Amino acid sequence: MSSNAPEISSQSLAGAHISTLYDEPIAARACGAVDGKQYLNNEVALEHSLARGVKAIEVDVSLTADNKVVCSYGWFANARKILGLNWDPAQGPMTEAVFLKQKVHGQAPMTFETLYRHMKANPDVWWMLDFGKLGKENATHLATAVVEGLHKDKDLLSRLLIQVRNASMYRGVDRAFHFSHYQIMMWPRERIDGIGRLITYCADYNIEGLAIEASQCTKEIVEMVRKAGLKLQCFALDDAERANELLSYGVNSVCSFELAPSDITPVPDPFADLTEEQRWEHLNKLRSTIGKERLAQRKTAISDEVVVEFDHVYKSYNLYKSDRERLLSLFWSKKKREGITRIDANNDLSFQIRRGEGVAFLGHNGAGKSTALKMITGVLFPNQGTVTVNGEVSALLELRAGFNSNLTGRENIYMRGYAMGLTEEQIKLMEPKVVEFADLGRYIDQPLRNYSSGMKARLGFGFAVSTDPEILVVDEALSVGDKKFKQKCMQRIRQIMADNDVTVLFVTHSSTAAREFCSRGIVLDHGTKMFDGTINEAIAFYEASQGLLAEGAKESVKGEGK
Amino acid sequence: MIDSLKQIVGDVWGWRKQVTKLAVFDLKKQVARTAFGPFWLFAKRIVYVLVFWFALEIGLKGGKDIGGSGAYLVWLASGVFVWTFMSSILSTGSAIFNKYSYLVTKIKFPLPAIPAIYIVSEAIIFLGLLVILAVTCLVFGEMPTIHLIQVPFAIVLLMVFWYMFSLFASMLGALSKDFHNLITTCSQPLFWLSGIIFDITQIHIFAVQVFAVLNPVTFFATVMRDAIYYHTWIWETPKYCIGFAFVFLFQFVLTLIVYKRAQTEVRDEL
Repeated sequence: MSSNAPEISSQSLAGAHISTLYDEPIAARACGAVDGKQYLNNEVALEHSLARGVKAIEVDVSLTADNKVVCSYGWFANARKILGLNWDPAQGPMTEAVFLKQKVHGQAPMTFETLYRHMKANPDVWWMLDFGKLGKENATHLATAVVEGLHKDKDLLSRLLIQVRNASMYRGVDRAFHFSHYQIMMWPRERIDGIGRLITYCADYNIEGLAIEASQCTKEIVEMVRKAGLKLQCFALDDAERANELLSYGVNSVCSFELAPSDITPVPDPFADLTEEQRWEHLNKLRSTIGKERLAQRKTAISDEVVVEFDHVYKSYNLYKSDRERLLSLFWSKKKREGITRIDANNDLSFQIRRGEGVAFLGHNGAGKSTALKMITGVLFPNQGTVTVNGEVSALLELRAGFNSNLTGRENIYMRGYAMGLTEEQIKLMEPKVVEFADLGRYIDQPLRNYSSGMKARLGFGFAVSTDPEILVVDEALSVGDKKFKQKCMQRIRQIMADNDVTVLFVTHSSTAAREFCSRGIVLDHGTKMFDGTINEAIAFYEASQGLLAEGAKESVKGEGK
Repeated sequence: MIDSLKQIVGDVWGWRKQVTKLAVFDLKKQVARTAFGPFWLFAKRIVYVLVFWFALEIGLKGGKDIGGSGAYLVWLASGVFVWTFMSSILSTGSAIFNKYSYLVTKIKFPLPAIPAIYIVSEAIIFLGLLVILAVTCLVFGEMPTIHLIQVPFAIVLLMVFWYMFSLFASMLGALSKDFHNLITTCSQPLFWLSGIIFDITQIHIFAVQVFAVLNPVTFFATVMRDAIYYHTWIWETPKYCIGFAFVFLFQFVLTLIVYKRAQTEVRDEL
């Protein structure tokens, strides 16, 4: 999406959150237009863009000669050009100090510290960092500078979308830094000839969407891409009419300039001569004036809503010495019952999960993950503390539980529907979805005893994902079925998360699956929360505690392209 | 305790549609893979009555001490059919959380609604048996009288009482297997000391009479027979009404106490 962006690029989405970008007609803007008239390439424009509800902002980052990272706000006023192409080496090395004295498209560039403060001030926005045409070594330097520039803040790092050039660069960066989300931009002429090959490539690497420059996009390409089940984003748009046209072809989202570079009325940067602190002060004033509108949006933004809350939850099971003690204890006083040996499954567990989050629960067997999830599904109750759940929970716990082998697939759908408290009308509505997902053909009206175990799993999974849940609890359920079916399940979970702002809670031993769906990880051990942070850090913590670092490295290689 | 009652009633009423549908599925499961379907739901119970009829009336030449003027078969069937309902609850219905364990441990299904599923499915069979009984009555020339209006009330009482019992017994049974064994063991004396296959009023032993008065099985058999065979009102024998009222109240309180105490533990233990 930078000015030196490829003509056709594909992007791989590491996290399901990113796919919501496809559902916003306008996913990202260069910052940006003010009042649709003037174009400012500075933080005033940035605030205006955010106030209009832009979900992602692309920031151009570059590495200076003294290994500092610097950035400019837009994507066509390329900082790198100043650093590389337009800089005469005879004038000395381009250090951070020298760079900041330059004008990037008439505007002052910013330090990475400023970006850090912007990110802190806007917690629900994605920040796309273009690592562009850097070599592998420079990419590593840049990534190090980014991580340090953001003060290793795990929340901020999880909201970065790193744009890398190819799979090997992705692999190198991800291995060393574990960013949670990437876009892989590909040069078709170098790697793949033609859009057809690109589509095949996407299918092979489980990539869910393509990004293409608006001027390269035709109706035929849109149709081909849509037919292949991929999502399509167009970038570098500078014309509202063209944007509407593309959207009418079926393009999922566009990234716009809002105004063509040529239309820009040069406006002097009002903050040009101010110090960093003074700039920030001005900006805070500006934020409070245009912020009202934005605040209203945030309140309704569902991502702020807590859907699951554990408040100092204790859950323990009684361990009776014998069956006789078990019987006698029924008649004991409350005080005497407290003397029974208990085993803690959850010990002072507290956390909050917001709507739309994907959270993985990591921990060895018996760490209390399933107990916690069972309390969320409402099957178990805590001994102490409170568990609050707002929303319909659908659990992928043991997919085949409760199916009767003598009833047909269709009858089992109804039976489980009633068991889950649905009415006949609701089940009638979801039945075709289940049948289609399970892909059982004529078997749907055959008794379950004639099914293979894979078919039963498909029916169970199909049911669980067709209930349009608000909170989806997945407990190792994806370890069933063949590879093709697993991919279908993954795809469906991704879809659920993208379409419905669904919260997904995941219990798994596979770091690949956890990374795929979750941005956050909670590590449990003996019922206690050991770690709560970004998924990559959580996996690292878990694997370190398991002494499985070697295994983890293998995993991240396998995770390539996902 | 009022809260427990509210919760139980609320859960069953709120889930009544699902409970009914699941009860029908329960019957479907029982007759799956058969060609004759519903026939098998009734066959065993009908044969049960016929065997007793043959053994008692023809084999042992009994069946003369029952009073009334109608056919012994009608007398027998009106008691035995209602017993088959109660017998199912005493055996399967007293460990209902084991039968539907997936509803307890895998799905958030309200606990109080689970016994209701089984009660409703057994009640459907019982209603079918009543139709067969009606035909039998007509065949033997037993004409309906006003006393028949006791039957619907009896069915409601039957379902409510045995629902409470099923919930109570299943909760205790989930916590202690001993309790479940106690119930299944007691089901034999409850049957033989109930007067289902003979007229218990003819046995003049005080202890047996007290037991009969307090035995809910006897009460329900007596109501059915009063309505269908003797053409009398149950309150004409007040001791049964008082005895049952006492047992009903006792069961009611017991169920609420056990539910309040054990509702969260049941899911842990299964």
